[in-house]
Amino acid sequence: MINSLTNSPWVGHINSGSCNGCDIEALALFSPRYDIERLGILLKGSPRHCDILLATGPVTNQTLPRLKRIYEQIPDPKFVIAIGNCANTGGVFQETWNTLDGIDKVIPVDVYIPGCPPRPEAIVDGVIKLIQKLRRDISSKDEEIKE
Amino acid sequence: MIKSGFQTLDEIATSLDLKIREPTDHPLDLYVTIPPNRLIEVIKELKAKYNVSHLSTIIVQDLQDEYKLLYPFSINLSGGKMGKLIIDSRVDANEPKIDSIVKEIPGAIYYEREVYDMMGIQFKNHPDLKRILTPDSLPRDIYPLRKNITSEEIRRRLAESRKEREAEEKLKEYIRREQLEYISEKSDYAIAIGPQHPSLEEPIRFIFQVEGETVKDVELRLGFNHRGLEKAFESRTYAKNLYLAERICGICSDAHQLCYVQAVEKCAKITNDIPERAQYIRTILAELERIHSHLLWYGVLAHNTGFDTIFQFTWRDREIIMDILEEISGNRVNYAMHAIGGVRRDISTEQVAKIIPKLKKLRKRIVEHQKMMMKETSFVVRQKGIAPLTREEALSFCAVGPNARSCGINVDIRRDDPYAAYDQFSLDVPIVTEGDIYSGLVIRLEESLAALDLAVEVLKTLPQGELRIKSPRRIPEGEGISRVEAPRGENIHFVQSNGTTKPERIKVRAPTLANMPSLKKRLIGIQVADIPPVVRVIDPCIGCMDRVTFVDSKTGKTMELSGEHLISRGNRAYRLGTRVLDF
Repeated sequence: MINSLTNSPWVGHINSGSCNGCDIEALALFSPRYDIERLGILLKGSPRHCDILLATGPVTNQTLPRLKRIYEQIPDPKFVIAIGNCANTGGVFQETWNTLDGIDKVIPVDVYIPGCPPRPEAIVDGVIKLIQKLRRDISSKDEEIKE
Repeated sequence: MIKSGFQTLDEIATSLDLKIREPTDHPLDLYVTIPPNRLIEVIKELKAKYNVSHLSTIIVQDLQDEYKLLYPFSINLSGGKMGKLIIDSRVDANEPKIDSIVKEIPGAIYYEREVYDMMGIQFKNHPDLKRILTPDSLPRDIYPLRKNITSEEIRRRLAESRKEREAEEKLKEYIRREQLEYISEKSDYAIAIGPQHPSLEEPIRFIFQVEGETVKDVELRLGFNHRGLEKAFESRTYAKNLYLAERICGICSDAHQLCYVQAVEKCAKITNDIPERAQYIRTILAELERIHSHLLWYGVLAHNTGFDTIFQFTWRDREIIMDILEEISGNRVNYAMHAIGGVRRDISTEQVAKIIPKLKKLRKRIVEHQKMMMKETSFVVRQKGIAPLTREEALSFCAVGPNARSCGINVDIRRDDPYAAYDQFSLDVPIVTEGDIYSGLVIRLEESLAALDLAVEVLKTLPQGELRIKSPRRIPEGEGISRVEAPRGENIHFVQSNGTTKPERIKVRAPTLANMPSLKKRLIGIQVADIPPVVRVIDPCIGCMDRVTFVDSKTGKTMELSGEHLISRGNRAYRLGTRVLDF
């Protein structure tokens, strides 16, 4: 199942209270210059269609239940990529009263992409790294089975 | 603009018998003090005698034993300038109550709710005084901006209340119930849109009450993106706040940083000493940001109405401007160009030589987009005459920026309250009077072309000189209020300094909040299929239509519709001829 996912992962996107900088860079991935669709990666509106969640923002208290709910709605196997410094650690928003300092305080994160905001190339790189990691996992498991 | 013969703000204050608090160095700012019980009366007089209708925001500050409320009103002065008459009214901390001004100024509805939410001041006779920005899980006795509570304390209380809530009820059920309770008896459906959607600046929740395909009423839930920045500003130094101000919004980051810097400079009384080269560079950055934001806007508008070709074209061509911004500042978003007292980076002659041809290329592309969009009838018909706003409505709801200019209000902060180097150039301010979505598009297209021409002109006349002056680390006690014409309209920052390295209070009002009351007016009476483009018209950064939940009020069944479904639904409605093509 994971094997088929690596060929054409569908991604969803959630803004959990970011400044929108990471979000426009994530959207720029689907524009002609970066065109991530040529790699088989499609942006989907509903979390129920997604394999990978692109999450931005430091998680505000008001988005917290929504973030959890959207994560729950994604069918297994699912992976989360935290985009931007504030999604990783809270960034400049650390110690503000209404944030939780990062996506990984709420849901498990597989890939962290630093940068404020990270360049679109960096985001593509993050997605590719996740795919490669999954493929490596699969091939090593296959070998284990053979042995 | 209404031309009036009044020379200065001082004269207006004297004619209304207002007490001038202290003389300022800035001829377009004037602080007057009045007791709270005179507030309504003064506003009525201002409206009747001086045609004042625009309230920028309401600033509130905790002074321990009393609360200071500032109401900055815009007044048109002779000579085409727009002054700020800032009414200062104090209420007692033991009984924080003041009259609501919503009856006189309908656009103040969200500002008063914000003040109530943040500081706990009661507004007498407010139609809908509820919390607006704070999360649902915040204990009701906490008013975050009060000085007697720290950020750590609020965080601790919030964590406690979150645990309680999770223990009390299953989250899923809670959210579902929350959706269902919006269905009123009058309408067939309640459509909840948001809060989460790809690329939304401020995750917003709209609850539309619909009858058939017509929107009957709409309720907004703001504050999903509220991070508590105003509190955070107070605990950081002025230099650190530069970077926090920039991250209020990733699309108009330059406008926010510039506005913050100008307000601090007013406190430090160094506004007139800023080097000319720095002023010019500030202008260039502001204009480049305007172009990139407008390109983004009409690209997404085209996407919302199903014209994806234009979306791809604009996002392709937007990369030209991103490259220029990266060339100048080293980053594509969040440029960190401004410093208190000037700018941090220079634009070299070689860079100017590189940038100008790129801008000329972009100009041709924008003209191309314009032609493509205007010729495409199926695209135009989805916008002409949809959700119009009259000039009077826009005035009363305190609309700002392109939203106001598309309704025939001749206002542009760059020209009326000049900052940076804008007073050196003659500005071309396009005005359209129809007030529908199409006029919003026309305004943005013309503005991007005008901004391009202005940027080229400023680049060509860039003067030599210093980049910045030394600014004091400790800012002397004072107040600074500054306005900037961000891509979305008037952006206003207020800084109160107290002589230390950290500010006492910073208030930010972004243009989207000012445009919310008029958006609400626009949304009533439209078709469900038109919701995406109408929400776009005020430019709440990027559309919020990717995840829509329809709730059937009879069965309580929910179904999710994506943005694509909505677009195809809209296109189908038009194919079937539900609207007569009037060409």
